[in-house]
Amino acid sequence: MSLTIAPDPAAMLEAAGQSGRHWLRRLVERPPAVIGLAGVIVVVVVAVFAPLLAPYSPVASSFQAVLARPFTAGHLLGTDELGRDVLSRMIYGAQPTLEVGVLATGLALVVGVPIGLVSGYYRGAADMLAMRITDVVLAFPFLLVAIGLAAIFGPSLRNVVLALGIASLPGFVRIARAEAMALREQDFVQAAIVTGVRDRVILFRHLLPNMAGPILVQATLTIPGAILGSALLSYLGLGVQPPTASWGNMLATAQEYLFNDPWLAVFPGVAIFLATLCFNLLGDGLRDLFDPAMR
Amino acid sequence: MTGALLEVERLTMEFRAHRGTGGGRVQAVRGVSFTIGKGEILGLVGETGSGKTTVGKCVVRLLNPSAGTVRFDGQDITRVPRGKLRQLRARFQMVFQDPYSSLDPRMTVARIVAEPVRAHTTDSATEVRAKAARAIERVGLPSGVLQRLPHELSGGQRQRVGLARALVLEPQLLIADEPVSALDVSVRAGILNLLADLQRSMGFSCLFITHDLSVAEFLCDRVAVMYLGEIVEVGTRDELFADPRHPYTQSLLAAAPLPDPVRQRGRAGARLAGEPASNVTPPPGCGLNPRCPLADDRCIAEAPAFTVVSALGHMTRCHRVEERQSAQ
Amino acid sequence: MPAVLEVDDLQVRLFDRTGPVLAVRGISLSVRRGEVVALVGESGCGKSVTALSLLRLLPGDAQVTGSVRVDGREVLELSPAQLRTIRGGEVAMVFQEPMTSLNPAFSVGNQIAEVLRLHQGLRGAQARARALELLRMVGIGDPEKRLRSFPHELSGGMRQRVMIAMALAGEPKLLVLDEPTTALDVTTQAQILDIVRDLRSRTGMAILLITHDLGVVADIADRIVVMYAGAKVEEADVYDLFRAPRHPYAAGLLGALPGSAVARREAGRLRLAEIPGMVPVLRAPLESCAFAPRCQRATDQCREQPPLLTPCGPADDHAVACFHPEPVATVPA
Repeated sequence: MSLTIAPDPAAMLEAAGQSGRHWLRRLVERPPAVIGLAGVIVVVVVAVFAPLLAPYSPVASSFQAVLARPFTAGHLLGTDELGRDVLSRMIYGAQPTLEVGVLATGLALVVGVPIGLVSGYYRGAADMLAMRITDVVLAFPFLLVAIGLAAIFGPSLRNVVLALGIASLPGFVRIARAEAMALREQDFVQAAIVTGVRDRVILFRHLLPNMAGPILVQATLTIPGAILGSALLSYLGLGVQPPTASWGNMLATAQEYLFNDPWLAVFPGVAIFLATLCFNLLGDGLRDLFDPAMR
Repeated sequence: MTGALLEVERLTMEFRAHRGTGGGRVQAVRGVSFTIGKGEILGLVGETGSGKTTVGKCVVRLLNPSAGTVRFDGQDITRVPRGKLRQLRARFQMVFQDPYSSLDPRMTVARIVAEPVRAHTTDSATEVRAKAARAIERVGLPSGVLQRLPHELSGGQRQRVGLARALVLEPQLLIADEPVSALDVSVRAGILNLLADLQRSMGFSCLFITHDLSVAEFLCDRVAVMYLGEIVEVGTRDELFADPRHPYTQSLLAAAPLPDPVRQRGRAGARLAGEPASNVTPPPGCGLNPRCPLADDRCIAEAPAFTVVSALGHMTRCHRVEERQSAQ
Repeated sequence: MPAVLEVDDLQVRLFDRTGPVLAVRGISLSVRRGEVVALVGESGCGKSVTALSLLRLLPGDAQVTGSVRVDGREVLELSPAQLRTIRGGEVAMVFQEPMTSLNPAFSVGNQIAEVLRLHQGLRGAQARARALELLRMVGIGDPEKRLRSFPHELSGGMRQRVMIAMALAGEPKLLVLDEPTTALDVTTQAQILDIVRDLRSRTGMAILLITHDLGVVADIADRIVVMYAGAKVEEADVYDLFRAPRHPYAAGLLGALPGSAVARREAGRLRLAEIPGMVPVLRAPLESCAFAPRCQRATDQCREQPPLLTPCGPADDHAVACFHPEPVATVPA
């Protein structure tokens, strides 16, 4: 007898949207998201295992082979103006690039989410203040803010992270605030209030876990922005400083040789483009998953 | 029933109106007064927009009323400070309409039911677990559901979990806002039987908010009927259902179809014409006057006061009833 | 007189994430001219799927077999073009949520005129006059003004009246009402039911009413078909069924209602009947009675073979699919 007792369809749909195994499986059903996920994993693996993967040291010069073309013996992607292996610099360059993206996003998340959470839950004066601050940050173009901050604090990895983190802040404040406002009206939060549960518990046990999805999406979509931003800052000489390789400063140095040796610009450029694309694909896929309308 | 546990007096709630209403204010609740005795179930009955849910939210102070008082066991909970209010909340609890949104989807049933205990006692983890398990047993669920997540349960089971959460601290007052309207008939019957049983065994008072007259008749000791933000009639269940006096109560009773063709088709079909007036611009005088077949100039000029029509406290706000009463 | 709607052994198989679902398992029913037949059941019983399959409104991957004849024509074999003339023409449908069934971008008048143009070939002043007439028929005051209204400017009850007016525009022979008053307050519901009653006597339309509300059924239906887990478990004249339901599920549904004739009193207080368990989702044909796991009267026989719909009396049009129907005598008349 094949009689399966199941709750009504609404509950079944909800179950599909909320159990962990299910959403991983459903993510895998979306080819673009899978490509994105695969790309992100490749970038992370390359960054983490750079010393094992790179054929040469990223800073070792070989004056016998300056500006060697790609596919020459021993240098798959050629060498740069100082005779450094481009492939090795690309591999090592993934590290600061990803680091900036992840750290800046992490900073924005750690600072922005609590601000949004509190302002969305309590509304009132705290909310007004938080919203005006984010409005001010948003009113400046994202990169201009980062450039300004990098100019003030001086060029260093830490300052790039700080600059991009602050510039990415409003996105997290807004998402957390919107989610907090929506969740606050949900019956289960109202029930917690009526029960006399402390605000701290409501904020961290009921609101925060239930907004994890949208925040994860926001993070995945913020990382590529930060990567692009860090590349631009490096390009402007405000980011990671040579001789440390990053895709951004590789691109910056490459511009002098753009005419005769275009590959120097092409490889980091393509890497930035692909990494950004993969994070965006993954983020869009995750967003679809968490969008209630798609459930 | 000795003395009132809950005394609501001249409760008024206004909201800022949304777009398209000319910036007016929605007068959701307009001077509502009622009491609930110890161990009594009061039904608050009305249609969409009558303000019944807003009254419930003001009583548990999910909303801060614009005016009026809500005295719980003598203390005005519209004015007690936050810390004190949090402590008081252990003594009045709420059950919600939607069994799907009223439970945190990420918490197990055990945690959901234990939450009020954790918030209000310093019980050890073992004691908390034991109390949650007892509450689950009391609402007729097997102990196996304790480790389940809400989405693994049916609507009826979820509503029982909501009830267990509300009753785990053994409150004196339960506010139930349409707790069975989202459920299928056969499931609804189980919850209603359970509520009646639990009320008898635990003795709590209950404000039961519903649009369904047959449910109110089944469960409630007294019933108050709301229309356009006001209570228009209140009385014991038997008196109100046997002898409704207000024209609105009469037509509401006549409009609710009985699940019995013999009785249903034998009834007089007095219908209210039209739809309720806007609660942004309620009509002057009696709120029902634009729809009421008995309305005259006086109903537009002056709002009726309550007329007591029985020794048991059955009363209604209608000029016609008052005129008949004083003529006798 | 032949029936306007004749459904014979309708089977519908839907597909969800997990696989096939047997949503409708061999439903047969007929609705004659001037008759209101109620199709009744709880969430998930297949009543709405049945209604949607009458006009082939189910998702494309649904497998529908059996026969649906409207006025003698087989709907399941119609070409898309023929189907369009039937939809909104000979068969009109009114759904539960009038807001989503109306196009928010067009005025009421526009939308009624569209139906009149498609199915009656009316245009301009003629269409306008007919639209006004239809709005009056469904009890809408100030119809000239309402023609220019947009759906969001109307209340729920008013929108449902408009939906009924649109349904009438094609002069249907069969009107399918799918939970038409579920989203409405009781006073508004009573007004809508009055309109339906009035239309039935005026136009002689056949009406199929899909609902979970037995009060509405008691108020307006002539015959009732009770569905459970996609199958018909009982069919009877409304008076017969409400007085003496024979299927344990139908009896349980009625006993669960405070105001029904079969609700029991225990120690002076009303005790509502409960049906334990849940409606099953069937993924393969059953070798048993679908209700057996929840039924107090179930025996080994019920668990070993599915009961067929058989006449059970006392009236000759009363049929039940149950090996051990409720005895008539125990139910107080």
